[in-house]
Amino acid sequence: MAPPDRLSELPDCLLQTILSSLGARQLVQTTALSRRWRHVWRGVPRLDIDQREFQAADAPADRHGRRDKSLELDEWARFDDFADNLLLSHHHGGDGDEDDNLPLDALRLHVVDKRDASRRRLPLYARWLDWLHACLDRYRPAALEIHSDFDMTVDLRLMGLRSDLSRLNTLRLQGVLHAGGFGDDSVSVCPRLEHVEFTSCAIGFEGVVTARTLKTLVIDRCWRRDDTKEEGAPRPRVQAPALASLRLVMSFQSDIWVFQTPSLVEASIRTTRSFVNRDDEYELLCNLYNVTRLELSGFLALDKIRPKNEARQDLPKFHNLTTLLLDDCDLTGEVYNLLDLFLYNAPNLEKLTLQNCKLPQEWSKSKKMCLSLKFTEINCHKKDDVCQVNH
Amino acid sequence: MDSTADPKGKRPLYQEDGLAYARAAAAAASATAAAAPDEEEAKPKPKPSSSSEEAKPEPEAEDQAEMPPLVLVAEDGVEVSISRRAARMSHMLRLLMEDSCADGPIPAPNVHSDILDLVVQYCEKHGPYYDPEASERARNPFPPFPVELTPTVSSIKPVTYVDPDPHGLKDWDKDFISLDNSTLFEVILAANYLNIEDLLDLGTTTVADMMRGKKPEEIREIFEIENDYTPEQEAELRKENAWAFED
Repeated sequence: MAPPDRLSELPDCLLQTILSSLGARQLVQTTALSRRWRHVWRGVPRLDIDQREFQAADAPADRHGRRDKSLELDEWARFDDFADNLLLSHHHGGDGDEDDNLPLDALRLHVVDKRDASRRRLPLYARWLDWLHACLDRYRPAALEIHSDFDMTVDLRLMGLRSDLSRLNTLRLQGVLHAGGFGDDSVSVCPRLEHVEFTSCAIGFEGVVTARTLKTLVIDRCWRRDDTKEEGAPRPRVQAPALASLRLVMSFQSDIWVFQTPSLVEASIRTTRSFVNRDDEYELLCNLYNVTRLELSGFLALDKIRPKNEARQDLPKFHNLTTLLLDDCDLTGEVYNLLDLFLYNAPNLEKLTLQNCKLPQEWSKSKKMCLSLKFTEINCHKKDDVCQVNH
Repeated sequence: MDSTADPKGKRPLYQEDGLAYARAAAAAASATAAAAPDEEEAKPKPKPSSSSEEAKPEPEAEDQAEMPPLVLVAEDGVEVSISRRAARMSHMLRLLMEDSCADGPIPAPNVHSDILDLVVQYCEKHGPYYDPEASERARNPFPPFPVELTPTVSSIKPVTYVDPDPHGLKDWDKDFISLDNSTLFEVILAANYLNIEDLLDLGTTTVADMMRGKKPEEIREIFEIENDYTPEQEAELRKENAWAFED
């Protein structure tokens, strides 16, 4: 007598919740579990199509880490095949009627490819775009994530013209070439787009980008696409009137856009120390004057910046700032010390945290300190910088 | 943590009906409380596992903490009390509290008392930290695919990065959810009935983790799923969907 199978007794919707965190390939395979499971997978509101599911985990690699090319081609072919068939047979929410297709909550596509092989794949790549659009049309996801290791181009504006992106609320792109279009005035392709995240992307917007509905923006180690750089062209300006949260991680390649974000509540900026235009950094700080919570990481002492013009604006007052965290910053400057500037310009600062910062030799207490500072936390990295700050 | 619940077969979801049913029953119960006392006392019993003790001496001046705990009645008639603060985690109970229908005993007819104990235990643990809005923000439409090896770039956690475990409850959750399969499914059903999203997430992702990376044969074994396809049917099925299966 078979022991009771409690899992299969759960109602469809709960099984679908369980299945929704599995990769698409495994999801489809559940059809073979038993009769009860035959069509359960079709109603799962999330699709995670990941090429890594098609990579043999134990494939041998040669000493350069490259795997057998024929094996790779075979894997790619299977993945291709899977993607096509999935589109044909996945009737989410319906009995095969096109009209009954309920839109997906989230669609995630992860393609992996070695860069040297990508050139051979160019014809396939064009097919990929067609496939992507067929997916967007069929599933109309509310959240879309595309993670690519080869030079895939995503142009939201063009995508929006070709497919219906009206449900799109969250967009996450990693490793793609983004050709712009997420905020142009002319066409509002994504009227509900609120959360955008770019990681390791080449971003190609220029001029003024207006993103009216955007609430959260993350730009992580991205850079401008080469073909949009012009000498002397003004830096792209991002106007995001509803933006509440901004996170920037700037690598050495980054240019810094100009942000106009009147509603910004929290911002977190991390920068490295080489080759970034310091004036731009400073201007960025000035643009963040209305935040409530601010984190800065990796900023140099400001007097190490060579001002292009002497009449540079002073740091504006940060009226709303209540929480400040400085990490890995150089606070040794005598004239333009970042910490001093903030203490002077942030009258409502309540909580200050210093982490891994380079502190001056002598912490002279004669500096003006905020009276309303409630909580100070200093985490020192080096033994020499033992804090003797009494507060 | 052995479940002594009777195998009841597929439990239908009475989500909407459940709320109405609970409300009506609560109203009826408080009306008849004086007339016909239950075998248990009408007052909530202080149970050692649930924390009516925890709820009352709450230092923060929250009105809810002052009020008496809710009483849930399991399918076997046993009463389980849950503090108001913990009860917030259940959307259903939250609505009842808001509508002031939560003063009398609240029936949970599909849930055995052992399971209800577990559920209450979870809510009491997470209750003090529960913020419905934060929970909503943290609900990531893209939970990380397990094989992902993205290293964190920043040494600091930026403000925009929602810490998935700000109160160090992950380990506790891991221990809590290491139950035998039957109990786990019952907890999932109970969390679904009471609409406790965090617990439902915990339960369903645990099951998904058990399934991940395994072939159908292996999954059948883990969950004792009986394969009721005939060999011919199964072969046909696999052929039809060859694009998804390996070799």
